[in-house]
Amino acid sequence: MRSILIILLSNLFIFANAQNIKGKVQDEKNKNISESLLFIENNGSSFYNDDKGEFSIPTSNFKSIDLVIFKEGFKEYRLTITEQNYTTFLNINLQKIEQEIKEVEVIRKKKTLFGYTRIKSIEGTTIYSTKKAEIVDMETINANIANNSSRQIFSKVSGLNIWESDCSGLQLGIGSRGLSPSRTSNFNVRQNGYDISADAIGYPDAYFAPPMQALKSIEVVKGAASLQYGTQFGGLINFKYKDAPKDKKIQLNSSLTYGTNNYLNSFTSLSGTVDKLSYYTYYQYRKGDCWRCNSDFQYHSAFAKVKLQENEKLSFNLEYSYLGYLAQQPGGLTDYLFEQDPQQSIRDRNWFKVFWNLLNLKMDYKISPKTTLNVSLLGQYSGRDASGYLGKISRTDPLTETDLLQDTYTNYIAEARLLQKYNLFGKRMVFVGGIRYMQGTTTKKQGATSNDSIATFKYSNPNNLEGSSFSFPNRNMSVFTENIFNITNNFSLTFGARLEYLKQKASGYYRITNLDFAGNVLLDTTILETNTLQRIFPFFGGGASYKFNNQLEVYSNISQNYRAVGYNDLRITNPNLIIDNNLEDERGFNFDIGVKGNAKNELFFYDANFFILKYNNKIGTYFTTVPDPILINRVVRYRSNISSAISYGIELFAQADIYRLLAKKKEYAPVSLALFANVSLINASYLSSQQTAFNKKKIEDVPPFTLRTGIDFKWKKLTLGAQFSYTEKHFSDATNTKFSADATVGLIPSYYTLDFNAGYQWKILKLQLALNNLTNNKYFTQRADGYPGPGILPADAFNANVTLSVEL
Amino acid sequence: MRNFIILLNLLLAITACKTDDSSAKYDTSITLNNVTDNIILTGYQELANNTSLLQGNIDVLKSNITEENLIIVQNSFLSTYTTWQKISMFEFGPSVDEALTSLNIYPTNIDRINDNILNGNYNLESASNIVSTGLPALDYLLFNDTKANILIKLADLNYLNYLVAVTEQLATKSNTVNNNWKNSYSATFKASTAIDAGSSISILANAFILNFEKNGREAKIGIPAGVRTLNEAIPSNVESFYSGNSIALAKEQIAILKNIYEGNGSENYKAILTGLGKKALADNISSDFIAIETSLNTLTDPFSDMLTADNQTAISTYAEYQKLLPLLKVDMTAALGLLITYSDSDGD
Repeated sequence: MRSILIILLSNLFIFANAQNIKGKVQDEKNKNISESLLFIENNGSSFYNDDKGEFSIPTSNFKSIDLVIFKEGFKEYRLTITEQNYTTFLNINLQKIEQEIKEVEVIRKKKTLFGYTRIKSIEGTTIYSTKKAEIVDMETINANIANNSSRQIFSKVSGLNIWESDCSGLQLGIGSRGLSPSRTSNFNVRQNGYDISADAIGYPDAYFAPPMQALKSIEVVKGAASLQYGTQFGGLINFKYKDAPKDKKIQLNSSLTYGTNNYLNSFTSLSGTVDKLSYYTYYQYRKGDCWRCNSDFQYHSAFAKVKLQENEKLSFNLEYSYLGYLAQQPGGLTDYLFEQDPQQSIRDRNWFKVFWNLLNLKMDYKISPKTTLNVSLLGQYSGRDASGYLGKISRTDPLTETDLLQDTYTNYIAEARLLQKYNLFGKRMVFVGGIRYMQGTTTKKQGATSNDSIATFKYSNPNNLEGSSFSFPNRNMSVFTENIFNITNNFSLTFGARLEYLKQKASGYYRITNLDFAGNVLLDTTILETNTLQRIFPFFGGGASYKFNNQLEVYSNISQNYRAVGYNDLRITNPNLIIDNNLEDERGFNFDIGVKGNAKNELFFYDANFFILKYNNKIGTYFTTVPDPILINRVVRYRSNISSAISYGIELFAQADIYRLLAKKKEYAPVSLALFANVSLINASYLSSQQTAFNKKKIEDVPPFTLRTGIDFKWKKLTLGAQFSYTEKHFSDATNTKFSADATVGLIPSYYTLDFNAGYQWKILKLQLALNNLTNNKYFTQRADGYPGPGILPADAFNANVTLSVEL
Repeated sequence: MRNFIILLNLLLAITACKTDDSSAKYDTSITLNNVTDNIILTGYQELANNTSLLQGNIDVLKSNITEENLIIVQNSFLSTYTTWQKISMFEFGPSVDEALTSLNIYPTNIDRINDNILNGNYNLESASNIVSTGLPALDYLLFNDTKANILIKLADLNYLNYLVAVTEQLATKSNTVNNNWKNSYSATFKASTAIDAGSSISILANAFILNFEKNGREAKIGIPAGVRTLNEAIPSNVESFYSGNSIALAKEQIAILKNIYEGNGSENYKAILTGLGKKALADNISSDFIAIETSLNTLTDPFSDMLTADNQTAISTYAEYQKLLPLLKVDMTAALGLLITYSDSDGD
């Protein structure tokens, strides 16, 4: 391998063709510029000049050639070469530009290879410098996006544990660095920069995620996103919708997918630009029976975005998102039932319904080339209903009344950010500052519903629920700043701080029903309960980055973070539960040190880092005694900050375009053949806990080793991709149980999957094929201790779909 | 590239070395072997024998309904009920598979029993019959009246058949559970020697504490004494209400729980606690067991009669149970690194 690379190096810029356009690229002071990108607009081919600044472009039979030259930090240079000046040696002088931030579209595209894009240090009003940040490019990704396959879509994002609990990615379950993937609640989940989870502070569960077909890209920033976005140790996930085409008044994209298990997906988008107005809108309908019994679903989602570009500086953007779905849930299985037949379901009365409404108004104002202001207002009204029998899966459904859990989420959020660039000591500095205000109310009700097999989502006794009814008003205000200090041209520091004010209240009632040994009601009481928690605290973070050159950067950062006390932690539904008066938000920090870069004109990318995530005061319960006037002391379940934990490990990502690296005439080749590998090694364990059963144990739901690797191939309009994922066996509970009779806890055995994707574009038509879990493995990614199980939730066996798309 | 692969292999090797799981801080196998061999297997064998004997005696009664034969059946029933206390806490494995412990749910539902007798058509396995089968149903069928009157009722074939059916269900299930323990589950149970939430030592501790809390403190003493009904006693809620043997059964349960805790001196939970340097706790639990036994001696059978006159003495006994509970549920589990996995009982 090494010798091949050496040969490659020496051969890099040697062209055999005699009929070449020759020239030299220099800056204003006639200093040679190497590695600038030369792009022929006529046929889309591109190549680089050599380290003396010289180039020699093989020509083809064009009458004239439109050549564009790009180089980071310089203005783009355009020229048209006709037959007359064909043989002239071209002396090209590029002009330096002040704003290094603005990168050229073509370069960005060049950096994107099969879904993986390197992130810039600043985008919009957000600083990514010194952070572990990754972008999934949805326009070039080779994945089964018609079925929201998160293991394929996030395959190039390092260190993720991905849960697959339904057949169409209805819910996104990803976790990183020792944090639970449960409904992605350890990430700060956003779309186009604003919150989309149920309640970012008290109930950060992502019941809503946009359909992947509507997206341009997904940004993932690990840990260090805390200063700019606040809460959650996992970091930030930001879904970015597609933009309207600038050159068309109306563009129609429509695709239809058919798949195994009666899967149907119809996605239609309309978009365009009319003068100052641009719009993007879509409607998606999905339905399917799914692989497991009792798991059919119907899903509707819609989105509309209207952007008014008032002038070059000022734009307004109005967005509305809707989601509604109804899914039957097959429940869990015991280990025995899973071995017997993972497709079976022994629950046929469990249903789940979600509706989501988000309305966002945004203003972007580029006050000057150095100052950008961004204001975002969000209104949310959403909810979810879960109805079913959630008793142990080792018991048969008694066919009595089922439980209905109904939530609503109403939130209003305003955020403003300002980005200011300024010069200090002759160096360019960047300041980002912002404020956030949030107010909202979540309601949670729990009671009995009819014993029908089709859910009615109506309570039997709506005015006196058998379980509980609570309302959770909340307020959150925060101020933050983050700064980039460029110490030298290569070395920069970032520093930031955030101040959070949080006030949460829980008020409502719960019922206590005293039963005798045979289940007869002895006494029935309703207890009113109110609980308020208010606090203000600052936290800090900083980072450093050293760029050896354009190809190699070393970065490091350390950021404090928190996970707020959740509504479920504040709520008492049992007289034996006592909440610590001094219950605090969970605090900790995230540390990264890594190296990222590229080689061979970005045909090879890599990002490798070591991280530590320290979790100081995880909330949990343990049994203790409290004084009692009659009984001396009584046993209570005590909810407090009980555990500290640490995760550390290594995340590695590398991708190489093997064909172009090896091929002689790589610049002309319409072929890409890329290999990628994404490895993470994590050691996550509890350091100490009041609950002694957790002491020194491994953290639940953290695979110590995951590998995602694959090969992507592109030839003209044909793309092919194969992907392999391996997740090592791990525990699903904090006592590290290997087996339990009710299957709610126990080992999650190692599993792997193999997926294949193919696409072919023919004029306005595109045909895509997705084959998932090719080896038809039986496996599962999670065990649930309650909803939506309980027990083992099997992942899907082999399934496939075909998509036909048209663009008009 | 090669270096990269070597590095990767090295890292993998490091983690591979670390895959060994939680090493237990104490040896659980001695306890598991002792409890299985000396308490569980012998208990189930005794139950299987007693229920078969009861079945045989009822057959004799069926062919010859005399007072003498009734007395034999009644005594046979009482010793079965006593044996039951020895296994009622092992509510896991084969016992759960057969739903054996649902055969001691009281108070029994007389209306339902009489309906079943009247109809002569019933499925004793249906969930709705949990409250009209098992030991409490037999208690009713054999003791709800004077011997003379019971003999008259037994002359009704439906009544007699119901007695036979309920006994048969009890005997069959006891036998199945006994065989399953003997033939397979005892080996599985002994082999699970870790201390995670699914391990045998954890299952046993949970079953032990749950049985003490729910079947003992609550069902046998607390609920009938009125601790869940604002100090108003419910005498009809005692165990073996018709045969009036409640306190004797309660003593039997405490004796078996104490035996599981104490072992033979060098085994079981007490020895583990002492070995972990928790001798004070271990001794406190022992003395609290003795305090409960002493307090149970202040209660008399028929317990329901006593409660009608005085429930305060019983409430004092309940307080003795309550004193021990935190030592088991909080301190012992914490010392052993075990997790309570059953959900909270009502209104503790």
